[in-house]
Amino acid sequence: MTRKKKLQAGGLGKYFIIFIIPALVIYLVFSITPFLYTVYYSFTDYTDMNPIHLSFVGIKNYLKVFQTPVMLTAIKNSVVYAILLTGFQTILGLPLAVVLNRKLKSRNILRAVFFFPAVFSSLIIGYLWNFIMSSSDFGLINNILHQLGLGTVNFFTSKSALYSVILTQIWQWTGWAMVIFLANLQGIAPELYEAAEIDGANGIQKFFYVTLPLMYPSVKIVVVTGLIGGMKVFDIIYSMTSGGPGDATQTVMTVMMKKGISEGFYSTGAAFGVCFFVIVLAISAVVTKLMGKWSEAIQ
Amino acid sequence: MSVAKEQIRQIISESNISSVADVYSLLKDSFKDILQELMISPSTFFCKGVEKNISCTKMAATDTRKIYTSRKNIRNRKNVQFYLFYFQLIIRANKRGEEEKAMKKKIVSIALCAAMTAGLLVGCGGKDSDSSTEKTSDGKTKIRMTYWNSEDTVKTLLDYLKKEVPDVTVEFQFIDNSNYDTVVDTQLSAEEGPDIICESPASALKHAKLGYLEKLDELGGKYSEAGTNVYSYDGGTYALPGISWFEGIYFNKQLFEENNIALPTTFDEYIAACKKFKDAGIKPLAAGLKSWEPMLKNSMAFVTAEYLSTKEGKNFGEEYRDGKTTLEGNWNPYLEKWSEMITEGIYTEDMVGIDHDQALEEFATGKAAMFCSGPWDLETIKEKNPELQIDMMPFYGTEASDGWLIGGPGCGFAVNKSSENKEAAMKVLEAISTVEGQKAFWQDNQGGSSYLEGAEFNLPEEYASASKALDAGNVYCPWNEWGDAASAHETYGTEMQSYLLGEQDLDTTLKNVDSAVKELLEK
Repeated sequence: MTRKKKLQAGGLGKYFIIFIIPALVIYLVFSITPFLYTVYYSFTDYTDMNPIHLSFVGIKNYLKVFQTPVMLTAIKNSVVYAILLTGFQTILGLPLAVVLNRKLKSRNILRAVFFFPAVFSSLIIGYLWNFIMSSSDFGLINNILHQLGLGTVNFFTSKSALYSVILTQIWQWTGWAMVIFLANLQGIAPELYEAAEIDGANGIQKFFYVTLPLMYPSVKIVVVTGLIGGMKVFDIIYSMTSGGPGDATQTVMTVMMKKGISEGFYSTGAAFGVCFFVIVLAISAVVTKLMGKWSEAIQ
Repeated sequence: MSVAKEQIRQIISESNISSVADVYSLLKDSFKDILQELMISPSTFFCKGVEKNISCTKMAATDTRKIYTSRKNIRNRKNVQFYLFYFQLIIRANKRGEEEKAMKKKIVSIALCAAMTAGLLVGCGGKDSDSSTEKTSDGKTKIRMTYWNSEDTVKTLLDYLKKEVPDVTVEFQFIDNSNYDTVVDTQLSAEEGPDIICESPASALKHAKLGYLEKLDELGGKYSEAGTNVYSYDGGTYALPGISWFEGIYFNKQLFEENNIALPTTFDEYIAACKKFKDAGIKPLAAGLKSWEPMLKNSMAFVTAEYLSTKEGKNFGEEYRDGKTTLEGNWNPYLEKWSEMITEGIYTEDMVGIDHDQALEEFATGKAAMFCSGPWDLETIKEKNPELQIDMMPFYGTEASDGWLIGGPGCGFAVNKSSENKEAAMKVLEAISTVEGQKAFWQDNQGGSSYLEGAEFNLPEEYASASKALDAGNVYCPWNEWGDAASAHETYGTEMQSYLLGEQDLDTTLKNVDSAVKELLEK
């Protein structure tokens, strides 16, 4: 009786190909082809000094990637950045969304306030926080600390710089995650809460047994886009630290720009890009799998 | 089940149902009681007036699920399910006919879409067939010149060229410094480069090696050796040196006078002066160490004074670019001494949290007594504080001397070998290589000096204390001599940041730079 018939998408089948072709061609030309070229270059000796007569060098470039400390630091930093940022924006964004989904008088203003930072480009946010976190007397935080008679806090030492950057990004993107969660929250049928209330569930129980399981789609979006976006971080690093001090905040993209493009090690940069692709692929696969388990568990 | 089917058929025929909406309105009434029991209001249950098959089916399916999940409904849910199932069947049967009509319209629009996309793609490839020998309508030859500084810095020069070379139009193209090499490299390798290229010593060497540049020996002879040697490769000159840049130590005259501190003439005196400022509660040196540049220049200036300018160190640059020597083992004792800048607390760890603009602000507002920079910042400093009495002193070594400034030719003008307008480009370079031409260029780059023989300009008073060093020609940029490895100066700067923060010792710092240089040389 409950047999599910697969929707045939209105019987469009044979015409799909015509719909797809324009997008497919653009995708092939601007995305797939350069990617295949990158893979090809990663096995050659392509540099700015040797731009034309390329020869095959095997896996030399890949070995070099793993022997270059700054590239390993970059991968580590990118992973730390992606995981911390995604983790915090989910953990902070969810309760925030739940609170702002209640019937507060100021909720529209509060929603706007929390979402506001996400409207700006990360570059602008970076330059602003540069001033806020500066250790000169013009730095907002340190100025306040000095007035209170406290010492200078240096946000940009080798150890703390990456976390300072992450902090600004949590500030910026939690509101964005909140909006996604809100959309999901508003899609949860009120009957379920009524049913839960009839069963005598309190607020916390309702959150954990009704809200959280049904938040699966939005959490998936936030986590997957957060992780991939985090791995690719460039603009905020560029505007806040440019990878410094030393190489303490180099990320995959900044190193790719520096080594792969500015310094002209095109083939090593290509190999690094391919390695990065594999890492992102692996992370996405793991996350999708974990998320899949969750969705199975709630069904 | 068969009863339900019959019922529905009957309803359809009796009620003259012709559209989905009819079905809804009909069912809405008969379902009202059940629905109220289910706590779902009829209006949310039915898609009122929605004519689209798919979304309705979806909604119907969601509602079925709701009914299932609702605990109160065990009794009724079988019935409801029947109705919903047939409900869907009816909708589909009704819609199929209409859809086939709509499909035909869609095919036409797809065809149009495809045609437009094809048109777009063709449009991209087809152009610029006759742009090689560009002549503007009035018979002038148009040439293109690229530079990493804004048009403001060459404005007077461009005006001068317009007058001096009337049959050539120079199209100035600004490319941001961070992409400059990449963009120009790509254009050159496709043989579509600019006609006149502004080159840094490193990029000039690279392009000369790859055979992209025209030899400029004849015009190069008009310039002094100090200017042309950084642009020479294999005995030929490939670019003409522009107005020089230099960096020294700007200082606040008033603060020095008020605190009764004499101008230092050696490195040790400099450290002592800084200490006095510290004791007086004034920051001796403002530095934006978030950037790798200040420590690079400051420490290299000291090494220049102590080692690179001496007999032993004179050939270091040349040997270094050939991979015959290393920093590690040669520079250590000098940098060891220079490290007093760190141990005496002039460069502090907190400074890595300050960027260039903030440091400039500290200096301009009188919070710091000194600031290392060059002519490009003078205007900004004066804008921030027009009252500031400013002067510049050079960097010193341990022995008394005229002092040293870090600097060199700002940009070199080179001609693209595969340019179609080589003659016009040469005419422009000839016009630049005159005293008037240099003066026009200098106008927007005041403070720098010209390498052209016989072209001398007055030094603005803000550089009075550096005049001895400038007169003695003590302007030197160590990494300009590093050839292919010149870009490693950035690595040097970032490694120095790690050194300042105590992440690594001096030997490791220099070793890391050496290995970066080696990598670049082996490229």
